[in-house]
Amino acid sequence: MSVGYTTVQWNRDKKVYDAVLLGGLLATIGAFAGVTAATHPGATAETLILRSTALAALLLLHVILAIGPLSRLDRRFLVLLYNRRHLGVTTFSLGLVHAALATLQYGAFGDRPAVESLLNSYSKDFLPSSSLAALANVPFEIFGAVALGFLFLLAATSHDFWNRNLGPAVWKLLHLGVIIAYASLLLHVALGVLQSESSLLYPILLGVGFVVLLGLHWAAARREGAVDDSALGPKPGPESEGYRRACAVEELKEDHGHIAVLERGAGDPPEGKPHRVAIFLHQGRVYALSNVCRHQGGPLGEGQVIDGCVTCPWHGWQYRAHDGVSPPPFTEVVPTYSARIVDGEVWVHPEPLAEGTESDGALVEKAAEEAAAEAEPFYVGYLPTPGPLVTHARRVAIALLLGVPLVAGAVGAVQHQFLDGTFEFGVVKSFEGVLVEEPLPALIVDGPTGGATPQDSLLLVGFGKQGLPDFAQGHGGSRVRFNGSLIYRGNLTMVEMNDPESFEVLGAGAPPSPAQPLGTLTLRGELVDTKCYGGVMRPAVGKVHRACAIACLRGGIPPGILVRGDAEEGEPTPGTVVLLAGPDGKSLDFDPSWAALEVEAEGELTLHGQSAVLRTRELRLTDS
Amino acid sequence: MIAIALQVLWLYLAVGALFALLFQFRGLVQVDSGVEDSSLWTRLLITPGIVALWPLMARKWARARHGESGEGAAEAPVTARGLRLLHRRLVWILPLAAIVAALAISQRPAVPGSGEQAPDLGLSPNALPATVLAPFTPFEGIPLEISLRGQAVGRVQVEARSPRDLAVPSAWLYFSVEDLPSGVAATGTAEDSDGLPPGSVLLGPVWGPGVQRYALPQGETGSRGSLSLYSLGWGRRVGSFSLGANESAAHSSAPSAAAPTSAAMPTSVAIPTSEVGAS
Repeated sequence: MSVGYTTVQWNRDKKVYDAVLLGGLLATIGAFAGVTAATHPGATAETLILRSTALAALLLLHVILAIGPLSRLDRRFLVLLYNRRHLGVTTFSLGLVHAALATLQYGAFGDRPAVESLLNSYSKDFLPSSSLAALANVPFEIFGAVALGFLFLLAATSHDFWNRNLGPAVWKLLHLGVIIAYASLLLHVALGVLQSESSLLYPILLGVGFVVLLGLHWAAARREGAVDDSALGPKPGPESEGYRRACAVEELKEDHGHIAVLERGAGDPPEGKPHRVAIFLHQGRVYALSNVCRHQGGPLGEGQVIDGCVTCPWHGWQYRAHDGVSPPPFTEVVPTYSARIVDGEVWVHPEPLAEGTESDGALVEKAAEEAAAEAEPFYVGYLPTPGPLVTHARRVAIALLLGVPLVAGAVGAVQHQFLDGTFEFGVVKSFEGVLVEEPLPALIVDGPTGGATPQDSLLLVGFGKQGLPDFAQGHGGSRVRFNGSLIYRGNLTMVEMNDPESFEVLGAGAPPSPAQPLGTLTLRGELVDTKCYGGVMRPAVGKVHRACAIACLRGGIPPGILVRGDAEEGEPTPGTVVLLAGPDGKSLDFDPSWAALEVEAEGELTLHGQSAVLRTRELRLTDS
Repeated sequence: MIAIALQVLWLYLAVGALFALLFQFRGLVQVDSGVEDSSLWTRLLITPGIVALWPLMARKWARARHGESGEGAAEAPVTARGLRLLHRRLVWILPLAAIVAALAISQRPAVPGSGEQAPDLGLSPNALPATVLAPFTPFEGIPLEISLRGQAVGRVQVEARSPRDLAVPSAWLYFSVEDLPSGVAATGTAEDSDGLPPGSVLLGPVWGPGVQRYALPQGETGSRGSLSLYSLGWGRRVGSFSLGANESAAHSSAPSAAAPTSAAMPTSVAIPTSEVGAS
């Protein structure tokens, strides 16, 4: 409730709530990152941030989605509902960090705008296919974007300004979008990271989370349905004047709300059925109000009378029982209804009274000791919390603070190992040698250069997702010198030419030694971009990296085929990459969108210096 | 399609950003007087929503300018029961999403090399047991076992088995109908011992862990020949052995003295003649 708006209406409970949230978040991210770093030496800081924020957001979304139905089933969980919007904003923030980093890593620095590159690189795989296996190739990034879009809408409209200006009904309608966000995230995870990770723990956890959430929502819906079905049947009496039976007086407890469902009358419009009203017994009189709080539609009938005002159980908004108006200086109003007592039953007219109409209520002849009841623990965020609710909230908080990080740690432990490889990012060295452009851009050197392991050939790539940069093109056969950063893994070494100003042509270079034919063969493996595979990205293979690999290959990064031996204990072996060129010794003409898919390459293996290059006669997708 | 959708989205958000800027100065207080005394932080907090829902706020602003107060009014009357019903219907997208997700997970590619045996080359179940050559270690600490299997249909299959990844340096297996030059091990010169025998045919790459299978070229299996293991990283042959059709003694070769590992010499093998070339 507010007259003007403040950024956050802080109180002690909200501060405690947010402190627990922050602690849980740090514990979850810390557990995942710590376990991953300890068990996966190849993990980079970017990967840790990318994955830990995604995991934390997904786990938090499960908590958010569980709080609603849990509160319907057990009012003690209303303590968690009180500040749920902070959970939502935090979830969006985590998702935003994840998305921003993913876009930067996998989409930026290529030939297309970053977001388009990430979302549109293999969108043709959305096309329906008769093969179920094709489902595994459907882009997953777009589902993450949809989820983030909905989470943004929910976070952006979480302030009471929006509740007031959209109206509680539209606001609530908008916030049902959380279901679409969750469904999109399910698909994002299943079509993304679960296509690259093989541990059964992932689908099990995802499935358990889904079943628990669906079960809770189903149980809450059943409970609500039972309330709707509780309408008392018609009975002769004042019903002829339009009044409907609501409940028995003996069901009412002093200052405790009761939800009554009015049976639809013969002339009522269909949308009026069934009609919920909140009935309150207060100081010997029965009052009937709308059951829907003006704030977020909370059930007033589950509230209590505090300081003479009907108080919503969700966020503590208050209305006077006799006229439905919030106490000054607040101005919110809920409809009230005319009530009567007949033969120990409360009868309510379904037509609301004019806004703000004062009502004397219906006088109850009920013994004071009978009406008086021991107050049930009732939570109002801005008031001291009853002891039993504090105990329950503590237990839940401790369970979450221990359980969620435990799950995060387990998820971190069972990831596949990341490939090793090194990208000397930010370390610029000088290189000199003869530049060749075919079959693949390379620098032929006659000794160690730039601190590289002695190699006679260093592949050349540009900054980001570019092949040989423009400033170096057309200088094939020349002796050149330039600055760059090394990328190396195994016998694959390349240089990122990231300093155009340093590029110098020193004169004509000695012609490279002719390629040595090694024979013809067919290789089967994953089509990869060799820059990421060399050490720039971890992971650099599989579905999660597909958009990036496509962008790299599209930009001219040399393609390679990654062949691997048998897996060891479920872990794919690092394997080795054979570079791919065209059959004529020029660059290969192929479809970059095959990146990260299994292909067969048939051709003649040739040795260029110490690099094996398959002069590919045919590159095809395998059936699997 | 996605590219066009993104262009439309950027345009929508750009208009929204411009509108939000104007709205903060001109229309916001008209639409909701509660903002009048609010802090800058509060105004900033509601700005992303204005950018996203600018058509809605523009309509409210237009109404406010015509004297219609939109404060606190719901844009559309949705009853609590209506919301509950909508909620119930919307929840049905979750099982649908879960089914698609489960199908997608069921179709995920196997871990490369996981449970996938290298394709057998059509040997019948009653093929003779493999003739295993003595394991040798062409690369430091990595034993490699080459074996042969033959059967009556005239095929001979070579199997290379290694418990570890041979990716670095990568190794390739060659077959040559030419036997190894006599005394190659004793000679040990770079040209003689490191090169491939003339006419060598690439059988395939050798990498571990696990087993790779290769077929010896048809029609050649009854002849003498040799298998050579060639290291791409080192640019030379690192091991080889002779195949003798009917003899038990054979040549052997050794890695050159410069080889960084001590490789036990592979021995020659006699391809089981009763099983080879019978067709």
